[in-house]
Amino acid sequence: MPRLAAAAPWRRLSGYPLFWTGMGLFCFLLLFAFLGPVFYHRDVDTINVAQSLLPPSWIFPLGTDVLGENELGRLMIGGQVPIWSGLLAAFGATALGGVLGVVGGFGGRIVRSVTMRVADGVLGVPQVVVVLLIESIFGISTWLLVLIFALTAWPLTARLIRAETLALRVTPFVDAARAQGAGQMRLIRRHVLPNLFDALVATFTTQFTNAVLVIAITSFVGAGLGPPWNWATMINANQDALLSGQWWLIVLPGLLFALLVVSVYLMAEAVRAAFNPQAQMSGRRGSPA
Amino acid sequence: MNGFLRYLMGRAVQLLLTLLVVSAATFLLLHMLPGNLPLEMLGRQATPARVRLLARLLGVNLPLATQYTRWLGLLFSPGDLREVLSVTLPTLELLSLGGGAALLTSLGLASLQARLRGSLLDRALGIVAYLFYTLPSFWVGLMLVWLFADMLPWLPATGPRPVPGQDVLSWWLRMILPVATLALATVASWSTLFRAAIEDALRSDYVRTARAKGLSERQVVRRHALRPAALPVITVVGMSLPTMFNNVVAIEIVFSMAGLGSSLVGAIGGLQYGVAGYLVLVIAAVTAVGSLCADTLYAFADPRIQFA
Repeated sequence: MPRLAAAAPWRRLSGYPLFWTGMGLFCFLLLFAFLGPVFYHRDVDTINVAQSLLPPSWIFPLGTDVLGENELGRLMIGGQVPIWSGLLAAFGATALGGVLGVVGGFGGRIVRSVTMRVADGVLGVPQVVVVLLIESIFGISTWLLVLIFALTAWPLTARLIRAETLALRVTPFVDAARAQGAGQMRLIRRHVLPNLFDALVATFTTQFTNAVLVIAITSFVGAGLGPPWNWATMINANQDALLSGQWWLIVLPGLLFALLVVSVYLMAEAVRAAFNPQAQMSGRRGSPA
Repeated sequence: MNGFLRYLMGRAVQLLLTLLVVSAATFLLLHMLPGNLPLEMLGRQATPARVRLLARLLGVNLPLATQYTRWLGLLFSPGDLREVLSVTLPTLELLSLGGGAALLTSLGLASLQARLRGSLLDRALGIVAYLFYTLPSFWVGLMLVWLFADMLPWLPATGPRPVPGQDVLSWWLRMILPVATLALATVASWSTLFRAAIEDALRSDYVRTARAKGLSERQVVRRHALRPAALPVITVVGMSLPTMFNNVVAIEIVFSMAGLGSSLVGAIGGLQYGVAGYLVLVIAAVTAVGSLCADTLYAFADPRIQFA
């Protein structure tokens, strides 16, 4: 990002309707999951089988679930884990992968090949399997889940960043800077990192999508292991309601997962387009897809 | 061919190393389980002498490395191998059928999109594919059950069961929904990548030549763009195996099928950590062998790769 034009990307960004769509969706989900339960918490955690599977009414706008709890209230709280742990896991994986990717591209021959061999090995093991095994041994905690995800997902980012770094390493402007006597750190900070921005944002979106899906799958299949419950555990608990007519108990939490992922995707794609001087989006149609 | 063999040997060694590391990590994890095993196994009948005896029999006081090699040896006992094979096969069936269906669909979709690029249909297809990518696979599976087994009672809601003498038709019928779920979860990411690969090929010089000699767009895509685009496809398919496995775990649970994923979940739920560790190793082996196959195929498919 050239310094003189620092304001331009932000101005471009604010002109993209899809950015505001994503932002709006995301803010809605944030308020829904974190502010909503503060004000609206009627019967969210009181099991009352007598009022199980009630249809929507004024008291319970989305009815009640199998255990007779307020579905709308639970949908609100159920968003907390996917949102915060998804974001944190994706940030962790992107940061770790970014650092190791630059190291893998800029380091000496041995460092380069070791990072990539490790990356290949880690990439080969399905994350859901690792999460399930480790959670069953150490107990379920969302922090642990975030940590495992970051430690197993980084190779995806590292591979891309490494490829970009290797390409940047031989560009004329990096050569020129090196010829002027710039040290390794300065080269990386001033000339390589700014050019990795686009790739980092792109892999962040992928990591976020994967993190949310891994959280969803492990929560869904590992529901017997206990809390923290979220939209996925709600789907598991109410599965049978699908066949007895209360389809919304299953349909809504699933759609909320998609809404969360799409909102982050839209924002990230708009940011990429705004900060990438080569790919201009027309302000009116503003389609980053 | 000599060079090719050497390449294969190198990859096989790398595979063994990976599996060794994974097995060591799994062993250490299991080792970290809290609790005193002999004490808990004996329960109320525990006396200090008995605990000591059982500890010696189990070898829990041996050096860690010795315990590890013992554990590795146990994995290869014929009885255990047979049992593991009986849950591995259903998973491989699901993986290959789902992967095959996803491959055909996404290649068709990608070449259709590449031919209609920029059109409304192209964009709509892209958006639909993306939406399936964002939806959890187990949810898609439940929706398919709801639509095609409940509302329209056409298909069975559960996957095939390991019953002897099950007729072939019922097996295929029961496979349709699980395979469709896995394919839907996979098509989305594949078709996007395939489309990019086809577009890259379409921008190349040889395609311009093909167009210049008057071939129709359909022929250009089919005969000239699809083949070079198939190379990245092989890589992508090989690299998708872990992600597909994530979905397989969910799908086996939704459709209550026998397989590696459901067995793993069952073992964890039943606190059978030894079995769980074993299954994790098998899963790692399956994905590693899969990616080795993909790399080998890639080397065969690309005439430019020389094995010097």
